[in-house]
Amino acid sequence: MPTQRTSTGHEQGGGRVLSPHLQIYRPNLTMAMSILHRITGAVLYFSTFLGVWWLMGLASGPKYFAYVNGMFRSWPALVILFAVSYQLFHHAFGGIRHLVWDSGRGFSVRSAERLGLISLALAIISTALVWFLGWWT
Amino acid sequence: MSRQGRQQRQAALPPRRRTTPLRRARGLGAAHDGTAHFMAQRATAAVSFLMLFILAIVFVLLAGADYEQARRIVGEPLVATALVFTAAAFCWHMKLGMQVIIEDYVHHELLKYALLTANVLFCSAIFFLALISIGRVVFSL
Repeated sequence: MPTQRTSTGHEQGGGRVLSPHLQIYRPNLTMAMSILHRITGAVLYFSTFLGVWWLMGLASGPKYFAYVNGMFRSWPALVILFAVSYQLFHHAFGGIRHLVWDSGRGFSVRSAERLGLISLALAIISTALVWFLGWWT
Repeated sequence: MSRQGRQQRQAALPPRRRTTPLRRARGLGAAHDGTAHFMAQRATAAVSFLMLFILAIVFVLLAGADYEQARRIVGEPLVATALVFTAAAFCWHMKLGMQVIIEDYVHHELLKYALLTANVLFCSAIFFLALISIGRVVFSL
């Protein structure tokens, strides 16, 4: 039987066994956290412009600052800021998890799951705390 | 080539071109780079993590501030330094992170290098905008 190659170079009909692909795994916490780490990183990358825009407003004088600050205090902007702040904490605590793994610890399924849960909890608590304090003062 | 032959050939070369097998293998990984990127990503991550808590405090302080109050807070030398430091750590870290994403998903050589260049320009621009804005607030007080 002649072998055929697909565009990705895998042999078909040659009796080769492919390694299991992503879709055969049951979705789990560590998988979701891993994907979210990259997505939150990419979102935060572009969100830095929000912080810089606010600083530019502050540097440009009272009139432009009033415009920028007004934008930041509108409801849609607050929702976006809240989401960005959560992603910042999510990525930060998720990153600490990666530093723990870099040290060679926490690789068992149980510890990996537990690290995921802890970082998720810390991210939620930190976001809530910052917004509570920001609102209250 | 025999071991002795190789040694003789190496000795005939100028010192900079005498290479060991390890030296030749360096830079041949997927990113044509060594561990420098990996280590820098971890180092900037650790610094960014610490700065995040200072950023959170500044955020809370600024939450209810008007223009004059905000300028006074940001213009405070400690706050301004912390903010510039945070911007440096964040921008460096996000340059490294986005580089990995581009290297992972973009396989067209020309597009890849165009995006890698755009990545450096974007991160530099964000850092310089933050630096200039904070500087203007600090030096106008």
